[in-house]
Amino acid sequence: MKPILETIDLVKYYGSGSSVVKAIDHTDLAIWRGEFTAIVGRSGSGKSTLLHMLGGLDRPDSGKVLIEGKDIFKLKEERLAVFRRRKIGFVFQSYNLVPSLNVWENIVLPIGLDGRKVDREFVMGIIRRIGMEDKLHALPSTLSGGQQQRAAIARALAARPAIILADEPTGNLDSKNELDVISLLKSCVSEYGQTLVMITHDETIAQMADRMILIEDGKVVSA
Amino acid sequence: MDRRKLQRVALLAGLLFLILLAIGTLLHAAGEAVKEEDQQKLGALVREHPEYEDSYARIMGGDAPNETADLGEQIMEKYGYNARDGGAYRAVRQYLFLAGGILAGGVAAASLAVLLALRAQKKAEEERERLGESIEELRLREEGARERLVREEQETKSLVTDISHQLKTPIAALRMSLEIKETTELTEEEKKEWSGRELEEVGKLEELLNSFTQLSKLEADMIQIRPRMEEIRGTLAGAVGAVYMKAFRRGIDLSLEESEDRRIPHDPKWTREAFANILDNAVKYSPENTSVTVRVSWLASAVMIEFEDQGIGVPQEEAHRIFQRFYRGNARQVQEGEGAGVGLYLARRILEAQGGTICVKRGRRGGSDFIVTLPYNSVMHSVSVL
Repeated sequence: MKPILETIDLVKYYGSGSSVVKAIDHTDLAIWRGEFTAIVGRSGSGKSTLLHMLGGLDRPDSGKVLIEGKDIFKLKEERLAVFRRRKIGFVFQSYNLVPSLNVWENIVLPIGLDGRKVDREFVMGIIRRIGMEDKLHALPSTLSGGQQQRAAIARALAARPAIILADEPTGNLDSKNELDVISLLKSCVSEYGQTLVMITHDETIAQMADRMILIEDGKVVSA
Repeated sequence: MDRRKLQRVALLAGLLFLILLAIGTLLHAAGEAVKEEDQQKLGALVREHPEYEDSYARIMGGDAPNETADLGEQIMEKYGYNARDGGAYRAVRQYLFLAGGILAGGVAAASLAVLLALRAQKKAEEERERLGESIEELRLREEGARERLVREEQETKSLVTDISHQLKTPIAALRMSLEIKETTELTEEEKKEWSGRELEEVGKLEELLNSFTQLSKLEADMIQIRPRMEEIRGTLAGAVGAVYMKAFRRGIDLSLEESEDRRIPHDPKWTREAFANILDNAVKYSPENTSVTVRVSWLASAVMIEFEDQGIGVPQEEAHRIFQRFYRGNARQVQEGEGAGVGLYLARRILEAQGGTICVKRGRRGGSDFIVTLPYNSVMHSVSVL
């Protein structure tokens, strides 16, 4: 079987000359469908840059990122945006909810952007799962960090992307909320048959993954 | 060409026909008006000068030399008339305006219809593309599940090898002990010591057999998780009860801390089994006269259960592997103790099948802290663990 997500000889350097930072240094990686992969490494090891490349948010200096065998950087900017919207859901450390929209509007926003009809029953199922039925009309600013992140997870799940990329999703949360959010992400992703790639510096979280990839200085040290 | 497209083409053709019919009718009416006026004029002229009847008829019938137009205009001007004010001219103008309007309206309507049709077509195409993608997605997911099954089946084949390998050690020890007793003159005390060791090995064999029974059930797809609404503390108490004697014999204080109780969806039988496996592991790798504490907390979307011991702990680099099948720690206590590396693997599978998780952290008082979560709202239908 082909991997759902693959990098081939991926390179991204920042700066030049003696101050060059090798954020991604000839990295080969394969992520399999339905797997929960944790990418672990110290801060500054190039994890976030890698995740941004996997999601097509940033272009590499050289090398390829293949999603379902398709080289995403060969796509035109416009096609890439559509492809990203349909295939990938993002969960960020800083939640990135739209402040002027309420919880429900935030969750269904990506579906609307794609010109699709909202499957209310499916989305409500997710909202019940994250335990926020009573917060549908609340604005993000009135929610706790844990609630905001759960809303952001619901937003990523609601559009039913094949892949969910999470960048330190619990970086701003205390340990109980962290566990809650991670277990939610993990079980939802497996319930809906999605592939989860999560960046974390926390090895306890990484234990819950099916596979752990360790990154050091832009290189995969162990997979 | 599908039915809808055919309908649209027919509609467009019909519209075009109607427009042409309307314009044709108008032009015909304009011609009629001109004809009527000519006849009127002829009639009036002949009434005034019946003697010129034949030349009037000839001229009005179309036999007028071209250069006479200028003369006509001059005469009209002389008497202050304008040809444009004439009745026929006005009627023709009106008819032409009407025809032009209908033509413009028709063209606008037709282009609008074409535009709408194109947009509908584009939307349908996008919808088809999306549908294709979803189907592909489903196919790939199914393929993934099938691949996993094949992989696990292959792993099961290695299970037999592993089991026989695991059984070898205690059986060899038993055989050695029995042979020594057979061939060597031993004092009563020595005999007793050997018998004690034999009993220990039999204990190990029993334990192994127990794990293998569980494992084979799991691999043979005999474990069906059937969640129902039950109090989670009841399930936990059952697990504590199952290991209590083992802990008691080793002077380990096993306690379930006070907390609120709630009903959450889980399979009580198999979840108890999972909890018992975690507790059994904690007791097994804890020194005598220590404690194992079970604590329940209620998170936003899941219950969190901690099993904290003062045992040997799990080294950080092994933490993510202890939940794998047949994985056994590298520590001396683990290598020497009985076990097949099945208990925690089974616990993880049972918990994950119910949307739960398990991980291990370093305990606050040394040892390890196994942390389990189970969601309040999960898939409430039964799932097979495999």
